[in-house]
This record gives sequence, structure tokens and C-alpha cells, in this order.
Amino acid sequence: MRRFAISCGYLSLVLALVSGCASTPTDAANAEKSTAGEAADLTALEATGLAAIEARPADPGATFVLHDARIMTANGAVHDPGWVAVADGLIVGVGGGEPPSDMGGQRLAMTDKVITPGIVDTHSHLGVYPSPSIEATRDGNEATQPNTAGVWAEHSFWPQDPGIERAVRGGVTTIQVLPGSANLIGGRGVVLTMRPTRGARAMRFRGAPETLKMACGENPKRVYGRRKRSPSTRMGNVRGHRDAFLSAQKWLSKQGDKSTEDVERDLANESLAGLMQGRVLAQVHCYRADDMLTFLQLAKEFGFRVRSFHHAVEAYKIRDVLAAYDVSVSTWADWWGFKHEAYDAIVETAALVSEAGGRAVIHSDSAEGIQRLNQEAAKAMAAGRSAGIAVTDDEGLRWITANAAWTLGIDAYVGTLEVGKRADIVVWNGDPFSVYTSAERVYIDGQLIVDGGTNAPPWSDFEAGQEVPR
Amino acid sequence: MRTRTLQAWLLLGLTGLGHHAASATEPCVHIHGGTVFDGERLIEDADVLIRGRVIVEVGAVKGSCATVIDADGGVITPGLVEGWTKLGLVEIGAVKKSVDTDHSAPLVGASYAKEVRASVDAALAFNARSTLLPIARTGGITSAVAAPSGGTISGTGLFADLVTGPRSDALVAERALMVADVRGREASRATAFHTLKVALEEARLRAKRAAADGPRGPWLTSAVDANALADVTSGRMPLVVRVDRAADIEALLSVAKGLRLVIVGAAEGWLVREQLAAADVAVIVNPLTNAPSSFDSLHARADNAALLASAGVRVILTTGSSHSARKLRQVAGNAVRAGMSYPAALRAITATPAEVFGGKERRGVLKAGAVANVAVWSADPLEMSTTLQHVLIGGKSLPLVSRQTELLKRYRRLPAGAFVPPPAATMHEGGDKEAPAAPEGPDPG
Repeated sequence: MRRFAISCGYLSLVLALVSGCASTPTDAANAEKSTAGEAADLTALEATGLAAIEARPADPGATFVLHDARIMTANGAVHDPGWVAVADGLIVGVGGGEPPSDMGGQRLAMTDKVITPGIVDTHSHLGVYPSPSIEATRDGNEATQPNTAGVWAEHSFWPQDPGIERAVRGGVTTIQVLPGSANLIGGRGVVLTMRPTRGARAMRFRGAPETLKMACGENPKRVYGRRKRSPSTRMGNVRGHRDAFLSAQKWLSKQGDKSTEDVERDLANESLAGLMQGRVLAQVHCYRADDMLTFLQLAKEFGFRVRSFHHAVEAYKIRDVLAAYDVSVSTWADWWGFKHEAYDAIVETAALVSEAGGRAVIHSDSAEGIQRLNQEAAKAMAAGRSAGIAVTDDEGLRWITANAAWTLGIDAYVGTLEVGKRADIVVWNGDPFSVYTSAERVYIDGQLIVDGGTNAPPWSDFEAGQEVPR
Repeated sequence: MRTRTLQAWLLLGLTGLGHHAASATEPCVHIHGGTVFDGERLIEDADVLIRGRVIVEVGAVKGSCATVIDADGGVITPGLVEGWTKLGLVEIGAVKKSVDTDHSAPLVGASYAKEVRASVDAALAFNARSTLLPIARTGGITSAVAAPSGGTISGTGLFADLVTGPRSDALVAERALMVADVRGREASRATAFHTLKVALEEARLRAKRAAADGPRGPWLTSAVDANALADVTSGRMPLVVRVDRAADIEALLSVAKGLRLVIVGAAEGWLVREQLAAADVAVIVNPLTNAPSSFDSLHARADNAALLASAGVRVILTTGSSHSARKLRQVAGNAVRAGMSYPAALRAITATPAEVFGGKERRGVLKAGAVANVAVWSADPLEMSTTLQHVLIGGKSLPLVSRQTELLKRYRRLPAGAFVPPPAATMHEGGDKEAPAAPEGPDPG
């Protein structure tokens, strides 16, 4: 519950963006006017960039109760048997035993099933590195200069990626799509609800804060070093980061007294300013413990916080620091060795981070892995337990739900089965940590979007008309 | 066809037994009390008796051994066999000088020679002291294929037991397979098939010429490469071809007619499963390949392995990875989830890859006469909550330690006094996380 309280601290800034996401151009203009004459309001500027053309599908919220299932709330409680009640896209009741008679709507017996919150993946390149992986679709790295803080992953995202449907069939209901890690500052990430619409904008998770992808270590120095450009070393990386923040500070102080409409627009500096103002969450690709410590130093220097280190395979070496700074650790269960900075990965990282009081997250970074995050969490749990680290099933589940939602600043909305949260729900045909278990039903905002097997036509236009007889 | 293969294999197994006949004086290991998967079926409450480096008995074993391993009601399987890796040929993926998989043509500068490298032998680069071997062992893997890549004909791969130490202790079969690749590329795939055909044809013609007064050159294929390919054209060595698209598999079946063909990849294999079964072609697939990740695999599907196996195709399951070879059991579990039968999935990571690549001795089975590569599990090996309890290679129990377990040991307790807690201002809003206790020990500042 304490974690819930933390996220409420984000609500005020989140709310500004809620209106931005749902706003029409007129709303945005009004928002801008309301601040004219006062100090520049960058949030209002952002709203103009977030105005929507395509509205999210307006669905009448179904009212129903799933019961006679094992309910894993990811909030400490397990009800077996138990029930979850949904109305207007929200969870309106959760409990053990039989649902109270006054719970309205259709009653669906989920005997022998297990119900969990929808899975949240903090690190995906679906849509920006989609299937098929061809030059024409590789839109994840704007690797033309080391600071591209002004690009938005949303603008690369292809909603016809066949990987989206496959991920949802694996129980994933929310993802953060990030630019790649070629650049020191790769650009804005975007948090998406996994109900495809014709454009990416309408898939934006309502209320999610903006995020910014940054990278340390091997990738930026390799990409630019090979071109005989800076950065070509780790110290060059850090110089690049510091220069970018210095320039953003300068820009911000110049705009500070201007009215909003007089602000000299600068996409890169707006992103970095958002970070320093706490509106934008830093999602930092970083493997080595020493690199992470260096980055925390940088964050201190410029007064921003790191929300999550991604990949972070050496997080176990500094888990006390990461827990104290409240930085989440988005990592894999067992990837290692594909490059030097991934050489010291161990399989107990998530369990050790949890044990130290930190926030462990199992992420995918993969169109294949995202389909089985439940299995990846299971492996990390098993590794921890066999090393003598106590990990409850609830904690393991939090690695792919509640902690992931916190990482994206959306834990007030999703990540656990609690009254008031959105009805992003997965019904599994068995123990979600078993290799033999599949997601049978997936609800997003109370809408049933996966119901059983795969005989339905493919979601993606790319796959339409490609079917061949079995 | 399949029966014949099985008989031939049994004979070879007996030869192996004669060669390494267990003697009563050799040390014996008794694995006691588990469900045994012998390579074909599950036997409940059985024991495995090992003498020296071979298995001598499976079932209700009587008598006593100096060494008894209690399986404690768990599951005893053959050591797992990963049928498609670069183990021993790679240390760190992105550190080029530690990667020895793409063997460029050493002898001739012509473009043809870049495509045809049949004579290059990956076994010469094989490093049995690689840190990847113990890590793969922690996944219950005791043997693996290590294969080269690059060009249309990449060279020969090897089959090894994952024993850390001298190469000779690990290598089971050098030059165990010839690798080729006809997947989509910048040049037409017809060019790749053409290259393969020319090289095979010239290998045949050269062999004829050597035997009698056959056709004379000039040749496109160098003498060393043609000689290397002679083992393929004679049927001694399997030709393992990377191919995914169903249409390409169809073309390959005609190009490689009469050869011991093995296909790796086969994302669309299920579309041509009847032809594959009829041609008795073994197929190496990754059951997690279920997306149209390229135009070679538009029809990839999760039940590919299941469909192939039920059509009677000999299926080998792979992670297609070296660092993540330990995922093999998870991959097999997913094949079962997608409809493959449980014994078939277990066979596909034990008996079948050993049968196709493992040389003369029997591996991948727990049967009298087979090399004693054994994994003992706490429960169902395909389930992720299950832990590996023991692993034996050639009858020797190996400790389940690796560079990763050593790192865990170092950091199981953090060094005291390592850092100064942050001031509250750097915390997230509502910073209610407790700061850790003040560090003890010397002030790091």
C-alpha cells in the first residue's frame, strides 16, 4: 500500500497529461491560453504535441464477475477461490470465497483458472523494430547524432506489428515502447495500452507520464566511435550527457520568464527540461554497476531522478544503492554474455534486488520474450529460491505487474487487482508460473480482447491474406 | 526407412559397447529412486547403474555401489543434447576476437571461395575451457553440436560433451556435420542453390576422377573443399542446411536428394512435413519461432514442432543459442504447451540429436551400453520451478558451479560500508522507502 502512496505523488503531473492525451486541439489551445502571462508552462506546450486525431474506441463497459478462480492480486493477497468484479472498465470488487449477491452483471465461473493483473512490459521495441525485421521497418534508433532527445518512439510505432497480438496472447496488456540504445539520449518512450488502433496515438495509455530513454556504456561509444565521432569512450558518453543537460538548463532558464506562447520551441531541450522538472521519467539503459553509479552521479548533478535502470545485469552488485535511491531494476531472467558489459549477469538478480528491498522488474526487450514474461519471472523466482532467497509467488508476480507499472508511473491505474484500478486482467488456464500454462482470456479496460485459441483472423493487416491451409 | 536407421543405430551402439565394455573393476555409480526417461519412455521408480563411463543397467537395480546418488523421487533423464549451438566457438558475442564461428575462406580470394568453405573445420577453434560450458551444464546439457556459419557452405561442425578441460576430452566427433545456408540473401537464393549444387556435383566428379579416369577440370571448387564435401556426397557426413521457407525446403529436397540431409530453422517446415517425413530428414527447430520475423518465415507458428513430430519427422529442438543454451528445457516445455507430446519433446532434446550427430557411441539415452551422460532433476525437467540436482558426463559427477555461481558467492553479502545513503531530496515523491541502516566500517569518502 505504501507503494500506492508513492504513485499518488505523480498524480498531479499525470493529470495534466491525461487531459493532454484526450484533448482536442481546442482543449490544448485553451490550456495554453490559461497559462499565458504566467511563467512558461511546458506541460501545456506538450499538450499541443499530444492532441489526438483518432479517438480511442469508446466501449460501453461490460459488467461481470469472474469467480471460482485462484485470484493473485500482486498486492500481497491471494484468494483461492476468489472473485473479481468489473464494471465500466474498472475493478469494482475483489475477494475470497463466493462473490456477494449484490455484485451485478454476468457471472462467469473460472473453475481451475488463475487470475492475475495484466502483464506490464517496461522495455519493448514492438512497433519500432517490428516483424518482419527489414530495413523498411527498422525505426528504433535515430542513430545520426548522440543526443536525439527530441524524437518520440510513438512516431515510429507501427500498430500493424504482428508481435502485438502475440504479446497480448501472452497476457501483456501494457508496454513501454522505447527507442534503441545507440544514442546517449535516444528520445521519448511511449506507454501503450495493447489494444491496437489505426495510429499509435490512440493506443497511448491514458494518464501515463512521458518517459525518456537514455543509454550508457558500450552502445553509444561503439556506434559513434566507429564513425570517429564522440562519444568513443565511457568518459565521452558522460561528457555527452552533461553537455546535453547543461544546454537544457541554459534553454530552460532563458524560457522561464516568457509566456507560454513565446517559448522558443526546442524538442530536445523540452524533453530534458521535462526530466529535470520531474514530469518525464528517466528510463536508462545501463548494464555495469559502475556505469549505473556514474549515471546516478550525473542525475544528482542535474537534479533529476532515475526511474529505472534497464537491463542492469550488474544491479545485484549495487542493490543496496538502487533500493535506497528507489530506482527500479528492469532486467532479464537469464540473458548474458552477448557483449562484455553483459558478461557478469547472474540469474539471481531479480531475487537479490527484491531481498534488498528494491523494485525488481522482469522486462522482455524482445518480441519473443514478451510472449512469455510469466515464464521469465518463473525462472528468476526459481533461481532465487534455489539460492536460498525467499521469494513469494506474489513478489514474483509483481516483477511483471506492479513493479513494472510503478516503473512507468502508472501504478495508480494498473499492476494489481484492486478496487478502482483498470480491469486489465488475465485468466490463465493454470499456474501462471508453469511452462505449460497459457493465457486463456485477456481483458483490457474490462474488454475481452483474447478469448481462447488462435482460430480468429490475425489482428495485423500484414498477416491478412497470408494464411495457408494447415 | 526409419526402422532401418534405428537398426543401424542399434548396431553402432553395440559396437560402442564392445569398445568400452564395462568391467566390474571400474568405479560404479548407482542413481537411486526416480522416474527415468530412457530416451523413449518414462519408467517410474527406477534406478540407473553406471560402471566406468557407461550405463550398465536401468530399472530395479540390485547390489551396491561405492557411490550412490539419491534421486529422491525426482526425474532422471539423459543429459540434454543441444543440437544447434556455437558452444566453444564463442565467448562474448560482441567481442569479435572471442568469436570463431564465421570461418572465412582461407585459401582463395575468389568470390566463389567466400561462399564455399567446406574444408574449414570448426573443431580447430573449439575451446573446451569456455565459461559457456559450465553454464550450459547448469541447464542439464551434457552434449552439444557446435556449428560454424557464413557463406553458402560454411564448413564442418562438431559434436562435443560439455566437459571443461582439454579439447580431446570434450570432442566426441570432429567433422560431424557439414553446414550450409540457403536462406534469403541479397543475391537470389537461386544463386545459393546453384553454388551448393555446383560444389556437390564437383565433389562427386572429383571423387570419380580420383577413382578412375573421370572428368578433368578446371574446377570451381578447390581440391580441399571438394575433398571435404566427398564425405557428404558419400553419405558419411550429414549435410545440415539452414533454411526456413517452405518453398526453399522443397527446392532443397530435390538438390540434396540421396544425401543425409538435416534441416535447421525450418520455420515453415510444418507446411512440408509430409515430404520431410517421406525423405527421412531430421529437422532442428526452435519452438519459440512463431512470428513472421522475415519473409522467409511468414508462416511460422508455435506448433511447428508438434505438427512435424506428429507427421513422423525426426525433430530436434534447439534454443539456437550458445549463451542461452540452458533454456533448452524451457524451449521443450513450450513445444509441449503447443501440442507436442511430452516424450517426443524429451526425445527431441536427448536421443534424437545424439542419434543424428553423436557419432558411434550411444548418447542421449539411459540404456545399457550408452555413455553415462545423466541429469538428475528435482521434478519435471521441463518445468521452470524444477532444479537440476546432479549432472554426470561419462559417468563422472560434475559440480554445478560456473562463473555465475562464483559471482553470486562474491555478492551474496554486500561489502560493508560501501556507500553513503542519499539525502532525502534525491528521493522520489512520497519517499517513504526506508533508507538502509547506516553503513558500517570505514568511511568510503
